Amino acid sequence: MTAAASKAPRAVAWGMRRWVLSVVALGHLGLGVLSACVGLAAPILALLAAACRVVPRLGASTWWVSARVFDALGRWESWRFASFGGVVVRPLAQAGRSDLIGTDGRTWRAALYWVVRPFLAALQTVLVALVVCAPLVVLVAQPLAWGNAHRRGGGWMDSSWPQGWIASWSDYFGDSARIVGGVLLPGAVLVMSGPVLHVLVTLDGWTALALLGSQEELLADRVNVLEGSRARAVDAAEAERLRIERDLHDGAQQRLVALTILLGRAQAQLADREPGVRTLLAEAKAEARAAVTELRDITRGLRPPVLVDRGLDAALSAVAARFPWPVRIDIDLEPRPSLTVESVLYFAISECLANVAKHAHAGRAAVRVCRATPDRAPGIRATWIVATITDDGVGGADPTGRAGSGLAGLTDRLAGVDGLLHVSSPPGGPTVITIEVPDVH
Amino acid sequence: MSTDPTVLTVVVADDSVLLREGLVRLLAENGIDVVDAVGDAGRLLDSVARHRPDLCVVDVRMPPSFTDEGLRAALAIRATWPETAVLVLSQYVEEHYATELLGTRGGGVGYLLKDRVADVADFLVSLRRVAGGGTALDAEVVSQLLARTRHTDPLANLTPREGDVLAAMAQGRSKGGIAADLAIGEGAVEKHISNIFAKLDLHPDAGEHRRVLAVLRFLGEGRG
Repeated sequence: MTAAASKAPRAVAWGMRRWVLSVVALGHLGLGVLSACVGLAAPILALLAAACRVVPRLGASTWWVSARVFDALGRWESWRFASFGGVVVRPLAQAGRSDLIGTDGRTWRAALYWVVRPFLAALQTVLVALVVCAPLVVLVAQPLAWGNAHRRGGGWMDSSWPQGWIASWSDYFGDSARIVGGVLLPGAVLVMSGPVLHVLVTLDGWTALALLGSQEELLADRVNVLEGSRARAVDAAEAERLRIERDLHDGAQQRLVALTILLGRAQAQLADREPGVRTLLAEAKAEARAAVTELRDITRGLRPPVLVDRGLDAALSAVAARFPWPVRIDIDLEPRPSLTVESVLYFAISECLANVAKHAHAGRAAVRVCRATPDRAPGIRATWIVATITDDGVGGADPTGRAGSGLAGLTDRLAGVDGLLHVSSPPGGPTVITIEVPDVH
Repeated sequence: MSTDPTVLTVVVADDSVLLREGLVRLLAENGIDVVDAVGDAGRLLDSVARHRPDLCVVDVRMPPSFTDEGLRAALAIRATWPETAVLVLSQYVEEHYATELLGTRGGGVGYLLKDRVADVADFLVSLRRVAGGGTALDAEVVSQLLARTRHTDPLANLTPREGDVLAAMAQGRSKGGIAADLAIGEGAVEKHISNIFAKLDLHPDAGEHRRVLAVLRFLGEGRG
């Protein structure tokens, strides 16, 4: 009893859902027929326009217009499948003519889609006509027509028209053959149309996925675009560092040095006169030189000229010299990697050594850089450059950077070139920091 | 300074007009004959060929590529005109550049930070020493060289104090200057120096030149 009572609403809900799905499927297929028509008409119209010299520049303009139309159609199809078909289809192209006529075969696949599309739309139209329109016609139009022909009484506006129609319909539905042929059969076909529509929509989706491309392809494209733009961003940042370094070198630094020389000359010219002024000049000179030194340290951090001229070995030797304890530099990088990679490695290794100086209480450190294939290379097909920074300090370095070690910022900068940072730093030491960067760019 | 009987002839090469003029005036004020002042390496080589100066004061970074043209020109000058000394000035000192410079025939080369020029008296002493066939190395580059070679060569056997003394020697300081710098007696400096010579296997018959040899040998081993 209760089971039957609870089953009934569920059956109603199920039925409603089937109807809604069928209506959505019909919408999807209808819009698909529309896009097929446009897809069929666009090149024909474009060719006609070209042939009739409506468009002055024949080839290029025709091609351009067609490409735009199919670009828009691609987006339209993408929207249609996302909204009704429940699949994500890659639009043909995003922007720019060069994308539209890509040489990777995708353009040809898309073109094939628009060739197949009208045939598919025709098939869909026929099947929808058979399983949806025909039963509806039989179910609705036939009794209406029969009632109109056999009504008893006057016309549409006759005062007795409802009774007349009802009387005629009771005659119509009184015949068992008409019940079977006009009600049960089309009704059954209509009920069975749901799965048919589902199959049609699925077929549509498969075609689109196969020829226009899937979500995976969309993501792959996105990854390619992002990888490219990130590489450009990293390179641009490096170029900007170089530019700032040059500007400082040629501008402020030169002026300050010239100023110190001026002050020095003034001092020399005073000889031993005006001791008060001499003291002031000496102080001014000391300040100017401090500024020169600070600027030099800043530009070194940006991108030391020797890194550009002589490579990582020379640049790191200069860094190593600034520490009060020995740093063994062992670099085996021939040929030289790209400036971006060199710059990132220089920054990372300098930062690690600065950390050793700040936190490790080390007596010595060693840096080794060479090309190798690390065990953990995450699917990037390239030779890797592996840098190992070792110190004999107290250990306990925190790679997350919570202890203010600056290792977190380092991880971020390395990530810009797909680089990895690995820290092994047990309490009591020794600390071994491994930096891995793909040798690309 | 102008007590020097022979007037030094100098060619100045720096792409910054401001610095070039500053240098030219400073040298002129101190009785040095600046025969030419140029802005790039190509014109420097032309000028040296024409004037055959006693000394060139050269900036490392010059047009067109703004990397190490000055250094390469300096090396070319040392190779082509050994009688012309070269004093390289730079915003940065790099031990790689220093070893390249010192790899030329010994003596007659200097490598200083530009702002050292501001200490006019010291700078002129260094300049005249280089012109006279000596060497002048910036304290910073010496410390870089020491750091690089500390663990690989016979100098590892030097005590830190002996290292300090050698660094001062590498800058071209006199015994008295070293003693004043390190706040020790001249006798102590003498003792350190003889220890350094012993550890570097330099024999007494090399005379005063032995000091240069000590520095050069050590710098030479720093190369590569």
